Amino acid sequence: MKRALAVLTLIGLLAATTVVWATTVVKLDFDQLVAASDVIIVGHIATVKAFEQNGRVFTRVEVRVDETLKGAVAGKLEIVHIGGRTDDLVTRVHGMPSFEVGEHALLFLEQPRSVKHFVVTGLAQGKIALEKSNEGVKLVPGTEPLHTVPLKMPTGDLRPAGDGGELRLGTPPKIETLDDARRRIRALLLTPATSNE
Amino acid sequence: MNRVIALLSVVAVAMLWPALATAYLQTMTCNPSGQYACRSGETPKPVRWPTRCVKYYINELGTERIADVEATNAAIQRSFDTWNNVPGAEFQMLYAGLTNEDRTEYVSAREAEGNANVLVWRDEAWPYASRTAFAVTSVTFDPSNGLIADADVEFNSRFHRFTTGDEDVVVDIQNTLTHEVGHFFGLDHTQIPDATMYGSAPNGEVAKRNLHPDDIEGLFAIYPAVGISPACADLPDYFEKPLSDAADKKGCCATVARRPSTPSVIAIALLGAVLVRRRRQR
Repeated sequence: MKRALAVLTLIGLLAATTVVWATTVVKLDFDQLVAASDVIIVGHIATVKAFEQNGRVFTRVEVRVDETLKGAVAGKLEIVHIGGRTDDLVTRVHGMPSFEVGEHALLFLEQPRSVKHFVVTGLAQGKIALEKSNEGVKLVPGTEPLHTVPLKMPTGDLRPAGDGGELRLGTPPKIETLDDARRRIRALLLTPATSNE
Repeated sequence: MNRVIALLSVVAVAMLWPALATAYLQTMTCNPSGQYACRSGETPKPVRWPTRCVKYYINELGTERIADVEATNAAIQRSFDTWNNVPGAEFQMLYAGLTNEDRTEYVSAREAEGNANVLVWRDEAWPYASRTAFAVTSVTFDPSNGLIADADVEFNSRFHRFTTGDEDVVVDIQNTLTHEVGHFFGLDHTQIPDATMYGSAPNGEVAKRNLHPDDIEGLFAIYPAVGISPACADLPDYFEKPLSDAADKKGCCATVARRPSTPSVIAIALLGAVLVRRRRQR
């Protein structure tokens, strides 16, 4: 019986090492996603169009903004990212988020300098699909595998220059529904950022 | 005791099943769902280079954020050579020198100037991916046959500090790029944690400068050792030849995308031991 328990323990340890992870990007938890994003919205994907630019394929996603949780956007916004498919060409960048028309999602977004479009924070990590259920609107974890590296530097380093420091507010609670996410984001944004300087 | 054996059997089978999907994976032309979903009547094909030798170039400007340009370029070359030096490998990625070309684009076969695979540092603009990404490897291919036409790597030196040495490692170039080179020639992520192509690495890690047997199996699955010379001397000196079906015949194909991982082998052994024991008990 002792031997059987020892084998079970070994199996448990082996199983624990096969955690599902998966392009090289900083691994962000919910609070870090909030801190690293310029804009956070809840919205519906209106259009998804791939286009060629200098021979590579990019994807332009038009999002109808239902609710803004961080930043100042309203109406519609546009996300553009490298990677996508046209009829005769594919550019593949592992780890980029995937969008489908009609999808309802919580989106963590960055606005790069000198362009009007947004990109998704943390590649696929910053797009969380939403699904209606009896308990409310649930967050559906992404399945896109990412090559992630745990964050070592303060999140503030990843934010636009002069945008304060890392946001932290106690132990992060479990965030399973859109309401949980709203509460957490509001709480974090009410907390004054501490400077890294 | 019977209950324990039954439990062990269930756990072993449960371990075996996901393990079948946890080893190296090839990048495929399309997926069951998502952005790269297969279109009606389309079957996924492995993505690979049409030739057994591919050249790459490093942008001569490097990054202003690392003073030692030579050390940076040497780390880049070591990343490619880690794969090139796998004994028996019949696929080579040849360093073709520095270039002033900083466009990471694919010029189609219709245009005269051809195409180059370039590694570029982006100290200023980073407009098409998150700030949190260290590097982006874009692989452009023909979805009808999976043949790669162009692959470029852009390093996000705008937002990250890269290092080359063994001390005070922040983002190790070689550790990061050895992984990206796997994507460059057609590998997807594996779920073997110690493999270079695993989807996660702790910050400051250098262990994945070296390949794991799973990575090597992935390389040979895409470019099997069948006695084909990489024939690097046949390639044009500056720009790569554009994509052509004729070139496909030089290479070979690979169909194996998955194999059982080490944990699954353990699970099989465990299940076998349980069955033998049960028989003996009878």
